[in-house]
Amino acid sequence: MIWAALFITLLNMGVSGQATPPKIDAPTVEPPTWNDQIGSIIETRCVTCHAPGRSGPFSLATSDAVQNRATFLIEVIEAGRMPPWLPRAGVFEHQRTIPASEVSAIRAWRDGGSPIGEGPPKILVAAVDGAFQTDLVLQMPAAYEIPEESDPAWHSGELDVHGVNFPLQNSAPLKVRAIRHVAAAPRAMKVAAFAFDTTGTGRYLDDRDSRVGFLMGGDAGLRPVGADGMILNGSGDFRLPVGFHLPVERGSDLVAQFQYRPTGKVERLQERIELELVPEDQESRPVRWLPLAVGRVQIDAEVVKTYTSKEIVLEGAVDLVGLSPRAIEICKSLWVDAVFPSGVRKRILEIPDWDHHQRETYVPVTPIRLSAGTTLMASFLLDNTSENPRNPDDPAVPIRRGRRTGVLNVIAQVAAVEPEFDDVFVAWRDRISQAFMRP
Amino acid sequence: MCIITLLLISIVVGTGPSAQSEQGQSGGTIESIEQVEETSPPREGTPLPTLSQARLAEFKLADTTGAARGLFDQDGPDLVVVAMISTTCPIANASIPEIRRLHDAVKKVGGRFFVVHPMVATTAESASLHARERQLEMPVLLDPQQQLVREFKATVVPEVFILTRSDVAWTLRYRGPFDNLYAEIGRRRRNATKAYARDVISQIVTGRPVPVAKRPAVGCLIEKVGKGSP
Ligand code: HEC
Repeated sequence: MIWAALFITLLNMGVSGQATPPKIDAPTVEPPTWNDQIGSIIETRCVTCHAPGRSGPFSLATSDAVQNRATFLIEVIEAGRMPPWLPRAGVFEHQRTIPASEVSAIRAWRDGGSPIGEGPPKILVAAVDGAFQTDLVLQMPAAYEIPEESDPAWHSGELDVHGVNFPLQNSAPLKVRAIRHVAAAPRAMKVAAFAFDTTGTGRYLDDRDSRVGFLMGGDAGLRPVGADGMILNGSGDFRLPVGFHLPVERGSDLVAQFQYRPTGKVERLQERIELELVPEDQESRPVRWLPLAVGRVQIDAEVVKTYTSKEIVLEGAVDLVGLSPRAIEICKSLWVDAVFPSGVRKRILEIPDWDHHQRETYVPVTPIRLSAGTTLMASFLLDNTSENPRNPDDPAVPIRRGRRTGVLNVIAQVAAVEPEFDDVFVAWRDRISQAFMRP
Repeated sequence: MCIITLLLISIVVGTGPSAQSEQGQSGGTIESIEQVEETSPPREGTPLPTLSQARLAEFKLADTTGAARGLFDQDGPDLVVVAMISTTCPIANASIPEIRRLHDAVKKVGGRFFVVHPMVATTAESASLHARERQLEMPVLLDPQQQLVREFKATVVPEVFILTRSDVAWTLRYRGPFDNLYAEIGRRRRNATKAYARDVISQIVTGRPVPVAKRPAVGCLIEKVGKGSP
């Protein structure tokens, strides 16, 4: 193979050398090979999802599979579409970006005739998400059928979501530090959002609906779904940093909202959720949800408008360990700002091109300390024009939504630094959330 | 979608006065002024692409059983619809229900409908499994040498080609997406709000002009075989 590559290079030089003066500025570098470079780039950047049984629509585990669509892959990477990763700023866990040098390497490989290199072509292996210790397994008892295409009757409501109540019936409080979602139809499943529930809302909705689970929904009382994390299917587990946990009261249920996307054929939704608990002897702080939310949206057709959540001023210091955005499909971009007591303003999350189907909880690699007196707010740019291709209505229609629909919010997952503040946090937070959950 | 389907069927089946009923319905919005301006309809004097019967008759592609099939037979009907898809492109797969609806519409008016797989890696086995899984009942053909791809200058899947014949020439009346489910890659509507291809079939059948002959197809790039050769 090396010989072949050299031969081609020489040949090219020979041909061009005769007709035109030799180009001095074009270095005749040998293209990278599949075995020495390209395979491992694709393996780390793509194969976690693009492998059999994973979320990606096709496998990229072999050199043939990559070669046969190389131009398309390069195009989609350069468009910023793959690997899927929405935030612009910040350093988060599972940060899926690909450096420009690697994209150039893939292009050079394709242009150089996709050489394999020494030995047989490497078969790529999908990485298994790190050590997950399964302490509890929750499984849907039966499948819900995802139709082959969305039902147009649902246009203006939230669509393509299915709620499921998983009874936990825990006799003692639990400290959950990681959640794993195993999708039955990985290519149809997009996002799973969670809320631990003691109000019985999930059970009530489940009982009322004759199918497995229930249509839409997933908010548990005042607790919006996503309060306890969201996972983009294929992106790995939701895991809190060491020293933090989601507190689960005794007798809870886990309410999950599964957001899917029809694939053109009927698929099964029969999800499994696994929970990992903090070991008994380990110190850890409870993580609480704090809504940065817009309670009511009223936007006329053909209007572009920015909504900003109520400003929340922290009464005590917290560590921010997660940001979980949720916004209706006409949302174009969203961002979260923190204004510190010193007056310094910092953008802690920025999503320039929002995609409702690619959201997840963004976990900062190191928790962000927010001192008492810090103001938090989330902003959402809505584009309710007919030209917005994500507008489910064409032509656009006026949108009036509010009350519990959680149309626009970013849930900040935070842990009080001082135990005293945690003691008052929940009451304080509930007062804040009343405003948008029960306007 | 049900309502739209029913409407179109009634248009396609019953010609004449009933065709008027389409005006103002969702199928009719395609002819709104802004649509026509935005995609520049074929102006007078810009001829539509035509291909001779003799040339197209050469096109024989293997179906999933390996048998060679002609797409544009001399003694076949004057309406042929070719849907280029792939087994793995999520955009093509999301269009499968619409492909079936379009197939029904074409069958009802006596036209022929073919699914063609232009992707290098598609095998007879994978194409036939795909067709079975997704209940595609029309002939499914493979174009591993990309002959039809070159003839149609196709670049992505999915794309639909609607051709009609008069005398010995075929005219490409429409090429582009089936509908507006995708505005671009990654920008998918929940449901399409315009059924471009089915509208074209009804325009052809009722003898009305087809206002937009070409729309940009959105989908997965077709990797060309034999790169390097001119
Ligand atoms: C976190 C999972 C994930 C990773 C990592 C990922 N993909 Fe994807 N990819 C998907 C999913 C899911 C789709 C289907 C489209 C959708 O649902 O938005 C997709 C679709 C695609 C498509 C089809 C076009 C489209 O957007 O629908 C291409 C091409 C692609 N991926 C290439 C890549 C390449 C190249 C990489 C690595 C650089 C990569 N992907 C990494 C999940 C992933």
